[in-house]
Amino acid sequence: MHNKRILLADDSLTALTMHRMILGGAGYELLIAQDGQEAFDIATAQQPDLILMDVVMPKKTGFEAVRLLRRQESTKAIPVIMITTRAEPKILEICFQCGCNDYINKPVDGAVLLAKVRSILGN
Amino acid sequence: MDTLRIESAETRLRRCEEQMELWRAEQDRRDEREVALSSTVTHLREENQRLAQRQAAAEQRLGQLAQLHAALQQLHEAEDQDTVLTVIKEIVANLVGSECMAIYATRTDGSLEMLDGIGIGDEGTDTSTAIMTVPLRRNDRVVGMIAIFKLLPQKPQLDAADRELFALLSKHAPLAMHYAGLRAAYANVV
Repeated sequence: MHNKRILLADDSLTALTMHRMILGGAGYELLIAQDGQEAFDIATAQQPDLILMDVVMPKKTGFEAVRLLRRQESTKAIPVIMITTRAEPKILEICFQCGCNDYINKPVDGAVLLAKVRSILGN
Repeated sequence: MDTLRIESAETRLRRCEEQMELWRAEQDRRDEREVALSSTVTHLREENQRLAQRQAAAEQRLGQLAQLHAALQQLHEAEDQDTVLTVIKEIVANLVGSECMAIYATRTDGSLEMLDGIGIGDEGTDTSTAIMTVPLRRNDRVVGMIAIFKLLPQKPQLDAADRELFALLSKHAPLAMHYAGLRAAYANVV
């Protein structure tokens, strides 16, 4: 059985390093993207089991990237957890409108991140 | 014939009573086993709950250590001073959860010069209004300061993990700035 693959999309190397340590340590295989366009390209080519997507990124925002993924047959079912800076209802509404499955607020708590990932991918 | 039938009935009755005794004994053994199993299940449930709590605590600590590791790694991998400032901002914004902060250098006269920040204008912000200030020290000398003015709405207050990050920043951010400066100077010379 292969390890579940997670695409981490974030332009912050600090956040990427932290998420890589937590999820890599839990046995997940990781793919990395540093902007929204790269996230879309990698998701299309590699078909990860889950995408962890930051909202504010260069080239394409996380919202734009998810909208594009949802329009494409091969990627429309890939679950996406959005990482949001502000937990305002309006932002969360946009989050779910564009097709995200769940969200995590910054600053990301490692235990919450693992719990949300497991609830989608199973243990 | 009648006598024979009566004896047979008594024998059967006795056998039934003996059988009943055996069943009662078997039932008692089963009851005892059930009580023992029930106690084991309760014990295992409690143990499972304790382990789940320990796992949750371990994962929380893992997350905090991952934060410290990520912060340290990014600070010391920064190639130039601008990148060090960006990393400090990323740490404070993404790992602490602040939407308004500034980084200052201490001038020779002791005053502060703002180097960079998030969510503040060019005029800087009065550091006396900060909710947290982190002195940046090198060789026991204060060479600058990080001031946190506002946290994200979903972050109610600073916690012990944030203070660990501030302690790390206080010591390692000035070192990273210093070595990035040395690298830049070396590159200019070469």
